Amino acid sequence: METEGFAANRQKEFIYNLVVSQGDITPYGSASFINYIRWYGIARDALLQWRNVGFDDSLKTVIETRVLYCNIQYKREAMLQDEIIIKVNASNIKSDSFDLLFTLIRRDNALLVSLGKQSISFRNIKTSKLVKLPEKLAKDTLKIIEVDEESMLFSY
Amino acid sequence: MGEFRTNFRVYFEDLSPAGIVHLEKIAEWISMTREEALKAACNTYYMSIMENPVKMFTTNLSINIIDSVQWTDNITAILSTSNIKKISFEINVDFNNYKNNQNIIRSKLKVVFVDWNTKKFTPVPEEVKDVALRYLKKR
Repeated sequence: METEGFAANRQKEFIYNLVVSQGDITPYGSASFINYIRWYGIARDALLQWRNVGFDDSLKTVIETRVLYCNIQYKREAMLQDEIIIKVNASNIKSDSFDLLFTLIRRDNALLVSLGKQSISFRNIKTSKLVKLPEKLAKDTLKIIEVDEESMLFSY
Repeated sequence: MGEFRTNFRVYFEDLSPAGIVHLEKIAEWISMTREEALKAACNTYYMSIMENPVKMFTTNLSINIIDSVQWTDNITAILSTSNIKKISFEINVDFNNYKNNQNIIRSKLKVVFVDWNTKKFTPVPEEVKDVALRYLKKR
């Protein structure tokens, strides 16, 4: 039956997969929180690949992604060779900034490993000024995976 | 109450083209600062951390980047604690640029203690709590 409200199959996300490797783990045998931050960064940049998302050619070499705020929540350990799925959603999309929400789960049992959030903008490194989000980025990349953070199952 | 301080130098690979310290490096500095503070003030727990069944885990970490730095700048990390509870407390690590004492990064971790044998939360060990109280600061 058609519904007007929330339906799980309408929720889109960007997905990045990785395997916990030898260099990620501590003497406890699990990955440290430092790696969670690194993994978020890899997933973020895989999503954005901003050189191809609508920035003017003249700006491509002078724009830098800025993460002004970053939060991670540790929920469960990630062990060596665990396969991890990173789901990425966007929220709070404004003219010159947006948030990314990260959900890390273990592939084999779908257990939640971590939640994360980053507030992102783009800055011209020559002028230090914020750069407006290209329409193509907002429309073709972020809007597709946009969620209402308040209505999410988890608190990021 | 006191604070714990330690220093870092900004290396070439730590920086983006705009002079922003990479998030991974900041997280590493936070972890190193916490270890140095434990080692300096609570050496017994620090040295037994591998065999001790009571393990410290970071359950939440926030990082706010406030300003850029330059290659070779010296950075002072200032550690304090807050919100000390039965099984957890918060560790606050601020980073200041030594040359102008400007705050460039603020961060906060929440740590909890877990008994590795039972996998259950356990009270903050007394010797660690003493250290947390020593660095307690209202924010």
